[in-house]
Amino acid sequence: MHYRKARPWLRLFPLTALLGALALLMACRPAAAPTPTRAPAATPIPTAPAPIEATPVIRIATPTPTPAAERPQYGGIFRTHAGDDLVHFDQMIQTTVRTQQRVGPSYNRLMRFSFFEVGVIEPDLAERFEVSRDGLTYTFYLRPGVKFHEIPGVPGSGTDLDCPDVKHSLDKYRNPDYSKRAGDVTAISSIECNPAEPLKVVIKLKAPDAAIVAKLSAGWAGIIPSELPWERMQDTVIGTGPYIWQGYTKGQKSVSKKNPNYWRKGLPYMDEIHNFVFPREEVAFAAFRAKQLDMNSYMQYIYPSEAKILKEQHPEVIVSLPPRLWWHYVYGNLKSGPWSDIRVRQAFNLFIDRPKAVEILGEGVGDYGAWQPPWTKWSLPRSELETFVGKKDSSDMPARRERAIKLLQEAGYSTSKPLKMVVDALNTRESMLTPTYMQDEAKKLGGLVELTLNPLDRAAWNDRLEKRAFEMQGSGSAVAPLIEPSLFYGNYFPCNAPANYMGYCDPEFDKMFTQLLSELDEAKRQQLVWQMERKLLTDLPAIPVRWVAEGMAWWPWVKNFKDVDPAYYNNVTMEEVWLDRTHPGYPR
Amino acid sequence: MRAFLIRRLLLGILTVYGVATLTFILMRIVPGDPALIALADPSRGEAVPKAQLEAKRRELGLDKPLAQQYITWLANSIRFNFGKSSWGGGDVVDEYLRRLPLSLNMAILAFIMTVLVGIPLGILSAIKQDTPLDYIARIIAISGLSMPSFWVAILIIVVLLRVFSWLPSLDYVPFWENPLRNLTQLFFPSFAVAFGFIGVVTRMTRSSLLEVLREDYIRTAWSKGLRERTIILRHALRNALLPVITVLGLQFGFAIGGLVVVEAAFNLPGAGRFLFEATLRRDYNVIQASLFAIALFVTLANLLVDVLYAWLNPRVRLE
Repeated sequence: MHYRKARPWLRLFPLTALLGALALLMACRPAAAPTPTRAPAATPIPTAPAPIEATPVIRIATPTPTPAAERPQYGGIFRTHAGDDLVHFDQMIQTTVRTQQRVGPSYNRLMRFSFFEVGVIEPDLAERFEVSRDGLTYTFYLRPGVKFHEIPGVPGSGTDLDCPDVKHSLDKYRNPDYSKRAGDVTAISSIECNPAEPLKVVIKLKAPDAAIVAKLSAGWAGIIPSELPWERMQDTVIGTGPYIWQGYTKGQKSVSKKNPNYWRKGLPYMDEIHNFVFPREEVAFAAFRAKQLDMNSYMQYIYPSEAKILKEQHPEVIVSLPPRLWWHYVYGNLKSGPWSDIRVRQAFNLFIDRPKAVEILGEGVGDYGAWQPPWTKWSLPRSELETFVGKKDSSDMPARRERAIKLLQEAGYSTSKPLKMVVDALNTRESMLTPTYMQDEAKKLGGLVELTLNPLDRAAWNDRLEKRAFEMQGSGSAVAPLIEPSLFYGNYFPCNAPANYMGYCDPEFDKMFTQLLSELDEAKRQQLVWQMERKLLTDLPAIPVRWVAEGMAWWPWVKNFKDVDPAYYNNVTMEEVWLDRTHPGYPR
Repeated sequence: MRAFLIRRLLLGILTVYGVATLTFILMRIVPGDPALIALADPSRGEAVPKAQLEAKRRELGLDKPLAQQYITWLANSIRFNFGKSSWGGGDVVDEYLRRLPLSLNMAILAFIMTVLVGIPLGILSAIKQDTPLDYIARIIAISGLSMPSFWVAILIIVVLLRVFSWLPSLDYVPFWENPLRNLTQLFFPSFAVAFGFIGVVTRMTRSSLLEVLREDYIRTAWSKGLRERTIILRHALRNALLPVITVLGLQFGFAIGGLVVVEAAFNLPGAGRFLFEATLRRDYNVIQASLFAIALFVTLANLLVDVLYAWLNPRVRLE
């Protein structure tokens, strides 16, 4: 057949197409980065959590920037990300990390957590403060000459900071209609200003609160101008912080520019912060590896396995995996079904091998304990804790499983009539780990427990949670903003706690909780917390599984950043961070 | 022709509203509360006060009876008012139109790739039937048909990352602002979409051309001593391309709606990712508006293909 004869133009087509594609690919490839002239210090991946001060240390002095080993450089655009899109910009309502990270650099607080030392609180907008002898009156003295950002058309633009601004901001913080964290500052009875002394703020408490200064230093306690109506915080970002908000394009990024009149002279260093939207964590991780991002996000952290990939393929990347104030737990519906039987709850507490959970789910990083971070003084002494949650080497697991079987048999379950429960599980990578592991652990009881996982997307999972339409929840997880013992209970265990989805209500526990809020003596607080821990480990409304250690990663040209915030929310202004644009790997 | 167009347009409108109604009903059946998911993340222990939740539901009109919600939506949609997003409160039409250029850009690029690669590959495969070249073309076509676009996207990302330590830019630059940067950013995502289409078009071109090449009039052309190039391009291909054009038109319509996963994989802020995220957030207004637009695109593409077909093939009469 003649028509099978190929003509030269047809014969050359595939080769041309291939060469064209290759040429385009090569054009896209960045110039090969020269070999670094100096090897960056190797950053080991920690395998065990480092100890953290249990109580914030309050440093009453003007913070001095920690001198960088190298001379800081000005300029550059810092590219990072903070997960999914924002709903709005009000950080007191949208308290998630994705909001704090984006709007955080625009604000200052009265006091702030140190950017360089864990658990240290330093003055921010307040130069100093005094506490009355009864612990009921706090007087803060504001810095003079601090101005709000100049943003045309925004109320309060360019005005001087004074007491009414602080009162306006903190009144919002403690108003439950305008703040999701209002429950943290219920101790405040009033905030008072005297027109004759505009830089003096008097905060009066109903009852002493050992953690009030820490709570006023949290990321979302930013100060806004008094002229700005509270509702406007949803569409406006204006503060006194190191970066001025330029705008946010949904689905793309937020942009903040350097505040040229920042009250801390010489800061910030970088020209702009671009905070990209990445709904999918694996896509963000790929972008980080391709040097499109200078730093990953607290919102989508680095897993130990990813940290290993980074260390193998990009040894110059700095990775930190410190313990965080994030814990995973499981619980059931106490109002009805098998979870209302204490023997079932005790059995679950006994048969889950927690050290193995840390090894498998946490990939060897993290810890386990009860409801207080196990590396703080608030956690029960290890020897006592292990009687509740198991030994570190899992040597007691056979005996614990035996006891679990006995309890379930007493509750009327057998291999012919096993305990069957449907476990709701949020179908994200992290949230599926605990329920899947628990299901596996239950199989070790010889067919006495049959758990069926019910993976749900976030909307459906939230819906069932809110309606209490679940039998058991396998994806229980929570984050605390500060190392303050009351914050690990307040949202979850008191009778009227907003996230008390299990339906736990115990007057004795509530009494201890109220007492904890106003107890100032550290030793007495510790004893009280231990009592509360014992109470929860006996009643077992929920079963604690593990405490998370999770990673941040940044390229070596990001200087002067320390991953010191175990809570994600409080180290977000980036004012001390600078970019080494002379670094050979810096993407130009 | 005019009667045909009017009839098809009316049917198209009915189809689009049928899709929209179905979407409305399905979204209300699927569990999930748009107000709750916008306000809190209970997976991290967040809770939202009841009063705030109720206020948000009122703001979104979710407190009204379902029939009333539907009638309101229907009345507004006629005026192309699709309400506000429950996630951020932006006007849905504005948000959609802001994202549409990127998706159109990708769909056009994918369409061009499909035409430039799929048709020549189909021709080669047909005129070199049962040769190694034909086998290669068929392998490519079968791969395109059998590998979902999200999988191709992941493969592309892995190769680009591991071999070149490079990924397309994060900031979208429109083609008319900087064509090279635009192509650099969208070439690979578009290829992930186009790969499947190339498979379809290659197979269609090959089989259609093979059929035409066996026709009597082609044999007559050979016997007249015409050049191979003239026979294939002028006589065979023109006839063989008629069904290919139908497929191409439909593919373009589907491309607009089918970018959902590829945009998510490459983190491109297009209309596809907008729909994908809205589905996870139960953002009813965005889902309804996006599917309304997709149905509109597909219907219009269908109509265009029919008209084009009649124009190219005088034997077809639109009556």
